[in-house]
Amino acid sequence: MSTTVTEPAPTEKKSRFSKKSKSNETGIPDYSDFSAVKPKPNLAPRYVRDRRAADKTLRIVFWAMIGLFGLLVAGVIASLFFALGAKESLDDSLNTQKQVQNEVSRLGPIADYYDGLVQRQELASSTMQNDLDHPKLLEELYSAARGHVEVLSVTMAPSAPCPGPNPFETTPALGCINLTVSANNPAGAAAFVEALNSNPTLFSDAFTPTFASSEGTPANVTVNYSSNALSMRFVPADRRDEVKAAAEEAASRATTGATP
Amino acid sequence: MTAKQTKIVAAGGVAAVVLVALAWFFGVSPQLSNANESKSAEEQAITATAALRTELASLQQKEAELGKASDAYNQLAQQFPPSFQTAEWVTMVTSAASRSGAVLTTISPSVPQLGSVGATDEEAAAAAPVDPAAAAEETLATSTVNLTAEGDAESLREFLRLLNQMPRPILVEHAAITTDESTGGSILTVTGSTFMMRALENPLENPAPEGETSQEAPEVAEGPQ
Repeated sequence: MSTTVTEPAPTEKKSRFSKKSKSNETGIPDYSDFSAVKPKPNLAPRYVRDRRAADKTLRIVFWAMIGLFGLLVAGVIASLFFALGAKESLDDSLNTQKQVQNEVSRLGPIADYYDGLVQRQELASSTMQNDLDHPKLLEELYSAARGHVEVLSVTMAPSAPCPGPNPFETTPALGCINLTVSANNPAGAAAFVEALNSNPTLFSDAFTPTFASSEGTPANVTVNYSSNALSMRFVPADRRDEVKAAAEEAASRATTGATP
Repeated sequence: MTAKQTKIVAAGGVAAVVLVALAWFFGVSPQLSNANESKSAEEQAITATAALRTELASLQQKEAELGKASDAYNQLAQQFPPSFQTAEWVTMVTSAASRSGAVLTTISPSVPQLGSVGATDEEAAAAAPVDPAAAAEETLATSTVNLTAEGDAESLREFLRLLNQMPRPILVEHAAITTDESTGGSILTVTGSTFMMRALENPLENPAPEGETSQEAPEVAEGPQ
């Protein structure tokens, strides 16, 4: 038994697509909207179709997992390389640090030498900072005595400043020099005291508690000396003002203590 | 989507999450942690190296100026020798006396004592036993010297001036010029201190043996393993 399907004539029956079809214009039927093959009914049972769909899904998930695994492996490898790079960089830095440290250690004795030298220079300076310029003091004393008195003895020893002629105001001084002089007359001894007092940068508060009453009689003279009597020969030039100020501060305290 | 598909997708999702978690906790995270520790240690190393470089620059400058420092120390060591060097010192004093015209009558240096000892402390210092620990730390030692010379006032002043200019300094604590009534001459009495300093080893003259340095290299921080 055969069935014959007759193609309807395009002109005989109006297609439901006729409005859009070009056949109306050209007379040729247009099947572009239809499948190239004939539609056929899916006769497979549902469970088969489900199994096929499940298989397909499984394949998709499987490949997706493979892809994800690949990505993760790539990520792990990348992080491994990143960590290795960081470690290499660290090793380089540590090597550099070790090299510099070795160089610093090699130069350590030089640092010790410098530190020792500086310490010794400071020690020498502090030990000798109270050194008095005795030749200069003697020179000035003998110079002041010239023509007025003959110096019989000079004693320069650590002592508090001696009281001067002005009990209300004593010039700060580092210490006191005791002299014994021989004067032809009291005026000579007085002139000597005046000569000492006319040198205020070095001396102050000269006084003669025992005056000569006649020719050749010894007279005792006391005179204070200032911070300018310090020799400063071991004090570096940039510290001299500081040392002098400290000495004057001490002199001021000593003078205040010595003044009744 | 069928129930089976849903199950497959759900199982795949769970497996993906587990896979990602495993990769993170056992693969990526430890490496990132290592990398972070390395970076942190590297930063510390860079900071430490920068500080060391600053110190090194200072040391290299000192090394370049070592000759000057050596000269300065040699001069200081002449003024403050490590031991009293009696013969040298006596020669200096007698030479000063003979050049000035004064006659040196007494010259008596005391045994050097550790520290800056004044003339008044000398007896107490001499009686005290030497502490080895203190001796190891002390840099300065003192010897009290007493000098007496005779001559005219002019020569004694000159002698005092020459004493003041000696290469070995004397810190004069007491100086007196008195007239000797019996002879008519003058007598100079000087009490002072002369000092000694512990010797300093010059690294150029006594280089440290290879591998031995005075400053031990500190341990360098270890990076992550």
